[in-house]
Amino acid sequence: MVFAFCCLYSLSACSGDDSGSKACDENVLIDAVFFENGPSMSLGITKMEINQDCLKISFNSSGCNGDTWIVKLVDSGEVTQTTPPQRTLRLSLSSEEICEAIVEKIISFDLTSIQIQGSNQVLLKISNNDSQILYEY
Amino acid sequence: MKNKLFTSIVLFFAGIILVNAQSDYYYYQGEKILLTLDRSQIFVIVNENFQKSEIDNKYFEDFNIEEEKTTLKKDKFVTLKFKEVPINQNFLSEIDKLKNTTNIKNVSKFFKRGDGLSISHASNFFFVKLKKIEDYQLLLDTSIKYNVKVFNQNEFMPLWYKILVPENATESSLKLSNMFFETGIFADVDPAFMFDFNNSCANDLNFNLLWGLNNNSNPNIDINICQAWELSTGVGVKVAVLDNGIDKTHNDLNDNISILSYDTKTGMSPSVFVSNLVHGTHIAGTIAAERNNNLQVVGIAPNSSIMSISNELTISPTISEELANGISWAWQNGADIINNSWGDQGGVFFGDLHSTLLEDAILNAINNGRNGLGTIVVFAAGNKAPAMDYPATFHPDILTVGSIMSDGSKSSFSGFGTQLDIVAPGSGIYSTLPNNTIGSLSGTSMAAPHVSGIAALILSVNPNLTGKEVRDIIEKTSQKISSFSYTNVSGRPNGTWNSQVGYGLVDAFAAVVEANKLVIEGSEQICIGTPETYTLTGNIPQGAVINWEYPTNRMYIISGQGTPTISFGAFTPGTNQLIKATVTSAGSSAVSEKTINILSSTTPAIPKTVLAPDNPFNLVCCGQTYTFRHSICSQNCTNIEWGFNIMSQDPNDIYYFNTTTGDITVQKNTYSPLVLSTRARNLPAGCGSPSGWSNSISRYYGVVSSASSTQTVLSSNQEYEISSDLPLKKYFITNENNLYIDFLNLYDWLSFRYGNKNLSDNEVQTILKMLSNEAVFESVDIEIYNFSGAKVFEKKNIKRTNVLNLSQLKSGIHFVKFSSTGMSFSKKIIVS
Repeated sequence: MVFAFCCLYSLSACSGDDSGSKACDENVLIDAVFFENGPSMSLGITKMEINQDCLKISFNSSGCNGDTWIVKLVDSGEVTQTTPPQRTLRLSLSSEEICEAIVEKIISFDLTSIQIQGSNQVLLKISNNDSQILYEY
Repeated sequence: MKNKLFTSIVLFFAGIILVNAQSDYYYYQGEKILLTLDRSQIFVIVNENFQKSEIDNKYFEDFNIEEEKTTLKKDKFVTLKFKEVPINQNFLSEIDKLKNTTNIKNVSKFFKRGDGLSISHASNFFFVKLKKIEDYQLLLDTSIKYNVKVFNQNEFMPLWYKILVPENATESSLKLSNMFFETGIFADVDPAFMFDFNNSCANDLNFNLLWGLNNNSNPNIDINICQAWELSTGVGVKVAVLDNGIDKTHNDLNDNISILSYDTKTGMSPSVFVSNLVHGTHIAGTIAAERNNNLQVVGIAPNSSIMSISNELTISPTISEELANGISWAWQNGADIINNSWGDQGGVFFGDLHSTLLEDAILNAINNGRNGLGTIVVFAAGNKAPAMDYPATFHPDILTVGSIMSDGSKSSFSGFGTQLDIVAPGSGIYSTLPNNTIGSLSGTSMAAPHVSGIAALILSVNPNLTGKEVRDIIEKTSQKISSFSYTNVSGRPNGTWNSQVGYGLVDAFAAVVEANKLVIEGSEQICIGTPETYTLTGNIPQGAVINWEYPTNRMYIISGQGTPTISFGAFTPGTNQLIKATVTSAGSSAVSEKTINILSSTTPAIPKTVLAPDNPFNLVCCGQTYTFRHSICSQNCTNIEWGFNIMSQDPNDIYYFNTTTGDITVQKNTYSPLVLSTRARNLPAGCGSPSGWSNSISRYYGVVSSASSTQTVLSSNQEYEISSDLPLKKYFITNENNLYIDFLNLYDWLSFRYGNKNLSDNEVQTILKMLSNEAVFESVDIEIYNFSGAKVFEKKNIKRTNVLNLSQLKSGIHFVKFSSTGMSFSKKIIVS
């Protein structure tokens, strides 16, 4: 039997404040200090898509299987008043693994906490790879 | 008569046609079996530069170029099918035409089988069975006669040998196998018919997914495993996998798991496996998954043995100690190779810090493993390109492996830079996963075990290689991926190198061939009258019998027959002479040859030397380094070697004497003089003895504080008593009948007296005597004799400037004698 093992994991919801609501895995963390100083192991974002209020991110990094990974989507807390308004976020990865395999994961974040009052959309700028995605709500 | 002649001609040509028609055959159990030619197709082996346009397709159907998988060569093949079956003459002319095409290496006919199908005979080897084991020498002799090579002995049937046919052979292996049999010397032959070229070299179900081993899309981008497996499968080699545990029960791996294992956390055996950790099982499968078991995948060294050394491979305060212990346990328990697919993730953990404990463990393995031959330590380069990971980077004796993709490009994640040694397949690598599954992973983790597996193949054919030799072989035989440019780089002695892919893509086949090679090391020439030593290196099993052969009409053995090192003498000149060493062990033999020239001895003419025209008067102190020439060759200067005889120097001064140029480089740190003698001789250009030595040129070099001060001494020559053998500067009688005496500093006086000239032997002896009694020459004794020879005055230990009152002496002629340490100097004085 060939089991095509692609290391595509879907993180299950965790307990605690960071746990995502609805169908998302995690909530977005709004923390300017963490945005600047939180863990920043290198990673590669391969795909981003928004489904309703969930931002699903596919990414990879080096490790054994990613079991020890702690992944957060951190918002800098600042809103740039453009049309549409912009927020800057960073995918933060912390790992304790020293294997040299490329592990791929998919994780989704609840975006409702970063909606901006008075606007029905916000441009999310992801600083890891200088990409952006429009969140409409 | 005319009818008889006609009949004879017809019979003659009929005979030729009959011979032609029956010229293809082989021997089976001593019987000649005729082969029925299939003229509808031709089998062609081409090299990698071959283009389809090189074949005139006027007569042939369109064709595919397919990769060769079953022979020992990394070639491609083409089956050419005629649009219409040609007559015999056209068929043969097409074969000749194809044989003369540049990139076609071999053209073979097809023969019909009984079932209506056809097979070709295109192998580059065949098999010979001896009548008795002692006939091995006959096999060697016959192989030399027909320019083929005895490759090895069958492991299970010792009378059978595999014979390799070189690429430049003029006869096919089929015909050569017939020629061997027809000598009558051998019991049987097997022409090694090739069956169904489309068959893979492994029957493992997903072999076609293993692009790193056998790349169907890009045939030049793989490690050439099919060819390598013809020679080695890793039998007898133990590979330690220091990783997060291995599923030892995996049905495609379990037969190759060693009972030796260790867990670094508990410090005990066995190793630990956690089912959700897949990394270690994947690594192990790439190295040693089983072959030809009709299951999932196959490893690079499918008959090697995996030692599992488990560690969680997650950061902890004790991680360095645990990993160090794992490496130490591995080599101390017999691991030949240690695979390490882990690192500090681009410096996230260690940064620029080091673990001396871990490094010491790695170096101990490299230096002391395998009973001192050295364990091969393989590390992944890291996935945080461009960074390379610690500890892979900390020592050049670690084999550090980067990753490439199946199209030959560097994997984007693969670390690179000055410490990268080689690359291996690392993107999209299928291997074993826990619970009897397989799957694909990417990373330099996956590249490293390809190299560990190749190291196992190497050690399996030649377990006597040192770790360094294994590393050198892997690096030297790597394939240069054409999309990268390679250059010679300092500190990279094993060929051209590129920072992205190191020495290139590892090549299992080339590495195993290189490892199996016996080499006779030594000079390519022997001089008559001069013993020459040769050493056989390579795969020499313990207890093997070594037999040296040589041209007995020109050479003789001085010592060493039967040993790896032999000393030859020669007595008759000759070029292109062959010396050969045959190693026989357990009925298996290997041969190495070396071509040498035997040269007559000549003795060149003795050169002549003169003092160098720019030879300095004095040396200059202190500190600066400069070069000067003492003497030069003036005649018969062909292949000069200079000889230096330093007769006096201060050990605190630094001199370097260049025996080729005659240059002297000096750094004077003292004011002590240099007394030096040089001579020269001519070395023979090829064979023979050096000439005799030339005349010696000896010089005294005083020391001054600057180059310009040498002139000061020269200009004051007249003040000195140049004929004196003592450091007497000047003396005279004053009007008051006082004898004024002025002595010079010994070094200054020697410089004045002996500097800037060729010294006679006596002068050299005088100088050396004075220098060895330096303190004594600070003073002299004075005696004065009257004209009758009676001593009238005496005073001892007079130093430097002195004024002696001679008023008590009678007027008239006297003789003053200055003496010191047996040396004396007399002069006439007049007392008034």
